Amino acid sequence: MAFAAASWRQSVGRYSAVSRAYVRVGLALRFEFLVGLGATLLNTWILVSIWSVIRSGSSDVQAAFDAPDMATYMVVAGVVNFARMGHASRRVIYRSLRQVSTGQIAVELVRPVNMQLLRYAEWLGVFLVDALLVAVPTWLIFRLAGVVDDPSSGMSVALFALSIGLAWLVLAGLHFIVNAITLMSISGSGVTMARVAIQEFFGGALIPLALMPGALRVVADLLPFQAITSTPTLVYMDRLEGPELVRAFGVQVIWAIALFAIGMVVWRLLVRRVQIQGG
Amino acid sequence: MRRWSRLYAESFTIRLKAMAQYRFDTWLGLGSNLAWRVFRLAFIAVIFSFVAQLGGWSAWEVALMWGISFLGQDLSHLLFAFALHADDYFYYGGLDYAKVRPAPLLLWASVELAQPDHLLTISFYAAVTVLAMVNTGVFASPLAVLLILVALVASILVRTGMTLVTYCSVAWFSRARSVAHGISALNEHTKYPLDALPVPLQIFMTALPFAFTGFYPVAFALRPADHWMPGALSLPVGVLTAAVGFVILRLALRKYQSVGSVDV
Repeated sequence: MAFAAASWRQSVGRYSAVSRAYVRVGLALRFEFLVGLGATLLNTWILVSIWSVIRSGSSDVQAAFDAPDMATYMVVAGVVNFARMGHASRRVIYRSLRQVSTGQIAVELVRPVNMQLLRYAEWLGVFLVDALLVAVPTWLIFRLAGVVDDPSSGMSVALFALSIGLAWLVLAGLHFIVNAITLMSISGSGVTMARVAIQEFFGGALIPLALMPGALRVVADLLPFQAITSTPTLVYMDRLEGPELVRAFGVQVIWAIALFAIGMVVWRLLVRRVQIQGG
Repeated sequence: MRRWSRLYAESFTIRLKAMAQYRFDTWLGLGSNLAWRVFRLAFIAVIFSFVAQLGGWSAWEVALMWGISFLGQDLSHLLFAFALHADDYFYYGGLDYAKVRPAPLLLWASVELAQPDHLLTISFYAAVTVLAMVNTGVFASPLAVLLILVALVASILVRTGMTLVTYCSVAWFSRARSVAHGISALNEHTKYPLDALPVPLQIFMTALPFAFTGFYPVAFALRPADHWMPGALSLPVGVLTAAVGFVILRLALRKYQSVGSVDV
């Protein structure tokens, strides 16, 4: 029992050290994050402006969102748009791709670590540093500009934090699977860009899912991306209550578990077939 | 020029043969490269399921702006592939052997780096552009067709110049890579007509100058009276941006001192 506890503590220490290392590197590269913050602010401002124009010309959009709600949705969705290729995520993704193309992945595979947990730990570091240096400042700037509403209560903040935590688990699971698939590819950048585009489109970062046309909405509901962006945004805005809220959290939990399990199976299958290209 | 065309064709053929050896990788790459472009276009379609016009422009007019802007981008990436990878050459010291080759760097490196995948994406953007030209009535006027061709040339020049400037700046300022990535994150917004954006964003997109890759030159071809001044200036802006890009490249090559391998 004591041995198991010690082993567990050792594992947690090992993987949390990876997360901490990513946070430290992120904090050291403040200029890169300043650029990322600028790009996120501009991206969000453009989307807020575009949806403001669309809303003014569409009774359907007006029925779904009043003007402050529309702006709040786009800002919060921009803040929690974890599909964005910020400095930290780009660093992890391209490092993984480079490991495959140069053959360094061979060294990674012989390390005495669980690759899936290692990747989750990396993404936790990425997530924390992105939240600290990009997401929170973006929210704060739009908040000071009076564009985004505050959460209605302390409970809303707590539920939002819980939803963000679950969104991270779904995101890490998704990244791990995409990363595993790129093992079979000598150039995985196309897969990465496709993941970004699909995640933004079906996740609710570009279009509120409530406004998604019929068939596309059905597809979006069947995919995990809604659990990453749309759910936290709607929780922030108190748009989910009672059974709807429970269902949304349930969907996040199910996707987090499912993607972890799928990732484990995919990794075991693919790692047997991996070819070290080298050079 | 004939020599370069032959070298380019030969290199391209070799790459196609190499791609044929990695079928899964090829299909994965082609499928995913096409998928993300289709989803970007789908976003425009969803927007126009709510409104008939965005900033006074119809769906097909916006599709034409999008098509020209990104057709220009992918043609620039295909023909001047070095520009997009210049930071890697400067950062990792790849120019150590590149500079001693008896050939202009931009040409041979572009020959070496050209990706056949771009043929598919270029075909996709070209199809969207032609379809948009049909639906906006461009083919009814030879002058409008000519202006769209000029718009495409302007787009290629602006894209090439912007890419050279941002990625070659690594020679002085290694963190320029981040700026380049930050700028490319805004690239997607070239699909919106400037008239739908607030004035500060219009100024920003004009100064950068993303607006000259699609919006201004296409607006000039479709409605010469609107935005006639920046529209007419699109080609000169393209020539100027490309010229600045080439000057920065030359200065960067002069500045290069071999930095060797740096782990990022």
